[in-house]
Amino acid sequence: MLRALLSRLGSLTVVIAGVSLITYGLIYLTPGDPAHTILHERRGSSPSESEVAMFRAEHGLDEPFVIQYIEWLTGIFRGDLGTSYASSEPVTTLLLQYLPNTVELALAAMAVSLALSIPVGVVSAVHRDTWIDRTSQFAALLGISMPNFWLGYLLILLFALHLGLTPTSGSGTLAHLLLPAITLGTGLAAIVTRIVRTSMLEVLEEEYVDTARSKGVSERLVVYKHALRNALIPVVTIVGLQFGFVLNGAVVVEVVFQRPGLGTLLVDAVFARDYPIVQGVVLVTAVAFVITNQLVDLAYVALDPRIERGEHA
Amino acid sequence: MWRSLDAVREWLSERTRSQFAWSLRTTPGVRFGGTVVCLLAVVAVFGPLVSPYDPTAQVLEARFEGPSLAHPLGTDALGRDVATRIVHGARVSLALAVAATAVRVVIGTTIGLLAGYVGGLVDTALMRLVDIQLAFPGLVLALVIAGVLGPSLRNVMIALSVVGWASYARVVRGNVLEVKDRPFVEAARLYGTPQRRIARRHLLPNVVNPVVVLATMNLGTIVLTAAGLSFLGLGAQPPTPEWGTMIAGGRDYLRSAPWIVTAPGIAIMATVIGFNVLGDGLRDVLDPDHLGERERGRS
Amino acid sequence: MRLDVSDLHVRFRTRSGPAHAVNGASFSVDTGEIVGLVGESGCGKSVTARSIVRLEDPGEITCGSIEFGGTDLSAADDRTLQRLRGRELAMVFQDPETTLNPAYTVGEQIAEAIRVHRDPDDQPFFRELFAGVRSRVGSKRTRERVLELLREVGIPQPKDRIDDYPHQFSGGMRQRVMLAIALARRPSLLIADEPTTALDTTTQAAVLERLKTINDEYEMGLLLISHDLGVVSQLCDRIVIMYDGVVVESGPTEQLLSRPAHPYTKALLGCLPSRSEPGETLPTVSGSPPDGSPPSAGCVFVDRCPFAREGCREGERPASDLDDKRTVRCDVPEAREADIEAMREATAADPIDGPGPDPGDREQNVAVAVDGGVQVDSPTDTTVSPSRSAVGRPVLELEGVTKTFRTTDAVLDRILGTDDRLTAVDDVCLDLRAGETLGLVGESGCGKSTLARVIAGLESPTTGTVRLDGEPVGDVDSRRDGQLADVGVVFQNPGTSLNPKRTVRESLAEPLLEAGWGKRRREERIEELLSLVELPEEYADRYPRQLSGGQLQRVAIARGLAVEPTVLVLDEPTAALDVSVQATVLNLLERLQSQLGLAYLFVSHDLEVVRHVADRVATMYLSQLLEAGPASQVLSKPAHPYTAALLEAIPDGEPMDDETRLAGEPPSPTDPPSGCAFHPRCSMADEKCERLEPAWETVGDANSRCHYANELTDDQDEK
Repeated sequence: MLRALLSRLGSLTVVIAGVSLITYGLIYLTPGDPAHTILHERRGSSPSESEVAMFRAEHGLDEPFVIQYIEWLTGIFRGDLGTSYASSEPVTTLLLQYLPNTVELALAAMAVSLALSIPVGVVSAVHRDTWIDRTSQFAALLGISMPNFWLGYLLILLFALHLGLTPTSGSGTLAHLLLPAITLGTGLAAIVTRIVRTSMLEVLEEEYVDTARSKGVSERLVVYKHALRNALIPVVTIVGLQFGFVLNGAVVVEVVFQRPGLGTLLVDAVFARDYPIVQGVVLVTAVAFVITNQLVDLAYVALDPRIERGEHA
Repeated sequence: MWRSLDAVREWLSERTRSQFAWSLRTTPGVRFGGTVVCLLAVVAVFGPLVSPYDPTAQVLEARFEGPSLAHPLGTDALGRDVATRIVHGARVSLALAVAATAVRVVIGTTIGLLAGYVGGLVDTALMRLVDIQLAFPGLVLALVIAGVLGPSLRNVMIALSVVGWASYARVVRGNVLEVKDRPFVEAARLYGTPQRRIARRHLLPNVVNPVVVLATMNLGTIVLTAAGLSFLGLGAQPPTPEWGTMIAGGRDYLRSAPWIVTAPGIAIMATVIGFNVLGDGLRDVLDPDHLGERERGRS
Repeated sequence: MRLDVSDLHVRFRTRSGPAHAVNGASFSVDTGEIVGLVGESGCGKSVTARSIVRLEDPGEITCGSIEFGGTDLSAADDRTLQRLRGRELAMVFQDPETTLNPAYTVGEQIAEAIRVHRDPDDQPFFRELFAGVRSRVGSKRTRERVLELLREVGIPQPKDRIDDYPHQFSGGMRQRVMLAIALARRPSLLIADEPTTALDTTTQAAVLERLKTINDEYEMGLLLISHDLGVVSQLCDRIVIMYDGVVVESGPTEQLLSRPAHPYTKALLGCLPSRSEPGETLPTVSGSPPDGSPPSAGCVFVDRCPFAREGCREGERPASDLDDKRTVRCDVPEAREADIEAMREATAADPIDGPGPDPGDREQNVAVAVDGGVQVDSPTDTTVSPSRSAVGRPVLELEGVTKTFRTTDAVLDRILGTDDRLTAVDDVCLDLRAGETLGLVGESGCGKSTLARVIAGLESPTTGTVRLDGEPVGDVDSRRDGQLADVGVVFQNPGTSLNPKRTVRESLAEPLLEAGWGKRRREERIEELLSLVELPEEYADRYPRQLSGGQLQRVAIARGLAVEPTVLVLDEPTAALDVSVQATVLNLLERLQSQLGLAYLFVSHDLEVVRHVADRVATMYLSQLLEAGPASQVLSKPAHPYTAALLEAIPDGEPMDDETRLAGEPPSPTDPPSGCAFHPRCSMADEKCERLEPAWETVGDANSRCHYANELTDDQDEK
C-alpha cells in the first residue's frame, strides 16, 4: 500500500514538474523576442533597444531561461506567480479573484449533467433499441455535436431575449448561473449518457446478472443493485477525465456570457500577451486537472473491491 | 470449445464478421455518417467552384437580408451571402481537421508502438510524457499555443496537432500490450523474426482499427475545437469564411438577424454528427471490443 | 417436482437470418433424479439449459413446452418465474470467474438468495440496495444460515470467508459459493451447466462428489449439462445425448454406455482416448459439425453417419422407444445394433473435421515426407506405430532447469532490491529422444507451460541448462538458425496462436521466410505442409476466422513443422477442442510422429489423453517434477501419491477412494510449503515429509520425489 502510494507520488511529481516546465516555456513560442514583440504590439511600432532592455530587466526576462524558470518555480512555493505586465497586479490575487466564479460554473455544470445523464443512460440501456433508447441516443448525439458557444447564443436568444427570463450576461446570482451551467452541462451530459449506456449494456451481458435473475431477484433490483453498481465503476473514471472537458468549455462559455472567470481572464491575457497571467491560469488548470484525476483513481479503489492496492494505473 | 454458450455467441459473431464488407455497408451508422461525410467533402471540394457569390466581397446595400431565393441563408452584417461563406467554410474546417488529425495519428501511433513494444524504461518515460500532455485541458493548451504564436489558421492547426496525440499513444500502447502476449506474436519470435518485423507484420495491423475509429471521432472534435478557437478570435481572421468566426461576427445581431449565427452553427453540428455517427458505426464493425472507447472522453 | 421438456425449439436472430440452436428437444427429469445432458459444442445443450430457467435471451423459444411441477415455464409470466426461481428452480453456470457479482461479498450474495427464498414477492427496493452497500450480512439468523450453507458446500473456515469478495476465492471455491447460492433456495431441481469444466481434475472430482451428496440429502433433481461423458457417467442415473439441437438418444447410464443405439452416441464413445489402446488410431466422426442452419427433413446425423440410407434423408425421424426406459432417434436396425468396434471401422475412413473435399477422394493419403520421398499412408492403419520404442541419443536434455519470475515490476522495487521472486520451474531434469512422446501433466499453475516455454526458448532458464542435440542453448534471441529450426511449438488455443489478419499461406510462410527459403521452395513446402496435416490446398488462402477449431489446430501444427524440427512442443494442443475433433488431431499427431520420427513434448492436464499418446510421463506439482517414467508404469503403478491422486480423480464412473483423494487446493507458489511440496495435501504425509525435502530417486524404471515411493509401489503390487 505504502509502496504503491510512493510510486504514485513519484510519477505525480514528474508529471507536475513537466507541466510547469512546459507552462513556463510556452512564452518562448512567441515569434521573435518576447519583450520586443510585446512592446511592438502594445505600441504599434518598433520599440527602441533601450526600451526592450528596460522591459526585460523589469520582468526578469534578461536572465537565462533556466534561471527564469527556477525563479518562477520557487516563487510558486511562496504563493507568488509574478505580476501582470498590464496592470502590475500580482497574478495570485487575480487568480483568487476569478477562480470562485469558474469553480461555481464547473460544479453547477457537473451537477446538471450527472443528474441528467445517469438516469437517462440506465433507462436507455435497459430499454435497448426501443424508441426511448433511440430518442435519448439522438439527443445525446446532438448534445455532443453542438458547439457550446453556439448553444449559448441560442439559449440567450430564447430565454433572455425572447422570454426575458434570465439575464444575458454577467455573474453573481443563481439566475446568472442558470444558462451558462446548462450550456456547459449539456455537452457533458451527452458524453456521460453514452458512457453510462455502453457500460450498462456491457454489464447487463455479464453472467452474474443472469445469476441474479436465476435467483429470483426482481428485475428492478437486477438492474439497480447488480448491474448499475458495476457499471458505474468505469463511469467514475470517465467523469474525472471530463473535468478537462468542463475546463475547456468554461473558457468559451464564460466568453459567451461575459462572466468574469479564469476563462475570460485567460483569453484577455492571451490577446494582451500578458504572459504571467497566462502561465498562472494554465498552471492552475493543469494541476487541478491532474489532482482531480488522482482523486478519481482513489474513488475507483473504493468502488471496486477487486482493486485492493494502488496497482491500478 | 468447451464454453458452449460462448461458442454460440462466437459463432453468431463469426457469421456477421465473415461478411465483413457487407456488414460495413449495411451498418446504419456507417451508411448515414458516410453519406454525410461524403456530401461534406463534395461541398468542400466543388461548392466554391459553383457558388455565384464572392465569400469576402462586401455588398453594403445588401446587409442583413433575411433568407430569400437569392440568398437562401440570408446575408450578414457586411452584405455577404451566408450560404456561400458556409460552403467556403467547409473547405477550411475539413482541411484543418484532416491535417491536424493526420499529425496526431502519426505522433501518437509512433509513441504508442514504441512504448508498448519496447517496454521497460522507454515505456515509463514515454507514458510520463503522455501523462504530461494529458494534464493540460486540450482547448486551454491549444488556445495558449495559438495565442502565443499569433492568431492565424495555420497556428491553430499547429496548436491542434501538438495537443491530442496522447490519446492515440494510449490506445495503441494498450493494444500492443494486449496483442504482444498473444501466442501468434510469440510464435513469430520462435522463428527468430526481428522485433521490427514483428511490430510491422503482427502488431500494427492489429492496432489499426481502434486508431481508425478514434481518428474518425477526432475529426469531429477538431472541427468543434477549431470553431471554438476561431470564435474566440484566435483562428481564421476576418474576412476568411470560417464557421466559428461567422458565429462570432453575428453575435451582436442575435435579435435582429439570428440566421447569421444559426446557419454556421447548424453546419458545424451536421459535420460533427456525420463524423460521430460514422465513427460509432465503424467502431461497431472494426473495434467491437471498444478498445478505443475510454480515450474518447479525453482531449 | 418433475421437469418435462417437449419439442423445444430455440432460435437466435442474426443479421444473416435466424440461427437454429435447439430444434425439438424432448426429455424429462424426475424428482430426485440425476440426468446428464451431453453433446459437443454448438449442439444446443447450454441453450436448452438456459431456456428452462428462461434465460435464453437473446434467443427466443419458438415452439414447445417446458412443464415444471404443473406450470408451463415457456409461457409463465415474470411473477411466476420469479417465484419459481426463488424457491424451486436453481441454476449453476459454467465459469465461476464470471458468475459471481464482483462488487458484493459472497455472504451478501448468498444472503440475498435466502431473503428471496423467504418471500419472492416481497423485495423492498431500498432494503436490498442498502444490503448491497453494506455488503456484510447483518441479521444474525441469516448469517447463521449462510455459514451453514458455506460449510455444507465444503468451504473451509466459513467464518473467515463470509465477508470476502469473490475475487479472493479460487475457481473451485467460487463454484462452491455458486452451489451455496443455489442451495439457499432449497430447490427441487438444480440445473448445472458444465459446472466443473473450468476446474482442474482434482477440484472437479471434489465438486462432483459434493453435487452427489447434495442430491442425496435434498432429494433434489439434478440436470447436469456436460461435454464430458466421464463426468456424466460418474454421477448420472440417466443420460440424454444431443446433436444439432435434437435429442438423439436417452436412457439409463449403464445401458447407454455399454450398449449405445444411435450411431452418434457410438461415435462419441468411440473417439474417447480412454476407450482405445495407447497409440491406437482413434475412430473419428467424418463430415462437418452442424452449423445452425435450419433443420432439414430427415435425420440430423445423416451426413456423417456411416450407416445412412436413402430413406434417412426423408421425413421426420421420430424418437422410438427401445424399451420402457430408452428412446433413440434412429430406425436403421443395423445402425442400432452395430457395436462401437464396428463404428470404428466404418468411420475411420475420413479423418478430416469440417467442410473438406469429397470424402471419395481421400481413400488414400499421399503425403510427401520431409526427405522428399513419397510415403503412402493407409488411413485405416490401426497398428501400434514403431516409434513407441524409441532409442538413441536424446535430442533434448534438461539439466537442473529453474525459472523464477519477479513478482513486481515497479521501478521502485528494482531500485530498492525488494522484489520477491516466484519459482515457476524448480530444478527439472528430463530428456527426450527422437520418435518418443513425453507427456507432461499437472494441474493449472504447476509450471508445466513455463517449462514448455523455456524449452521453446521463449523464456531463458534462470539456472540450469537446456541442450539441443547435445549443445547448450539459450533463448530464441541467442539460438542459431539451425537450433531455431530444431524446435517447433503448437500452442493451446489455435484461435490466438494464428494472426487473425493473415491467411494460412502467410502464416505458414513466415517461418520459412525467416529461415531464408526462396519463393519457389516456400510455395512447394506450404503445399507439402498442408497435405501433411490433411488440409486441402485451397485452404491456403483462407483467414483463420474461416476455419473450424480443428482445422486451425492443423494449420498450427503445420506451422510448427514448417522448418523440419526434430522436437515438437505441444502445449495442451487439444484442450480447446471437442472430443471428436480431439480424436482427429491426436490421430494426425500419431501419424506425423511415425512418418517424420519427431520427438513430442506433450503438455496436458488430461491424463486420458496423455495415457493415449505418451511413451513416458512426467507429473509436475508446484514447479517441481514429482515423478517421471515409462507411461505404462507411471499410470498403472504410480510411485508418487500425487500421481495416484490425479489418476483417482479421473471421472470414470467409479467411486472415489478416500485414501488417495486430494484434500484442499494447491498452495500458493509464492509461499511453497517446507519439506515435500506435496505434504499438506498428501494422505501418506508424516512429520518427516514436513521437514525433509525428498530426493529425486529411482524406483524401478521411473524416478520419484517421495520418501515412501518404494512402499507405495510395493502396496500396489500386493493389491
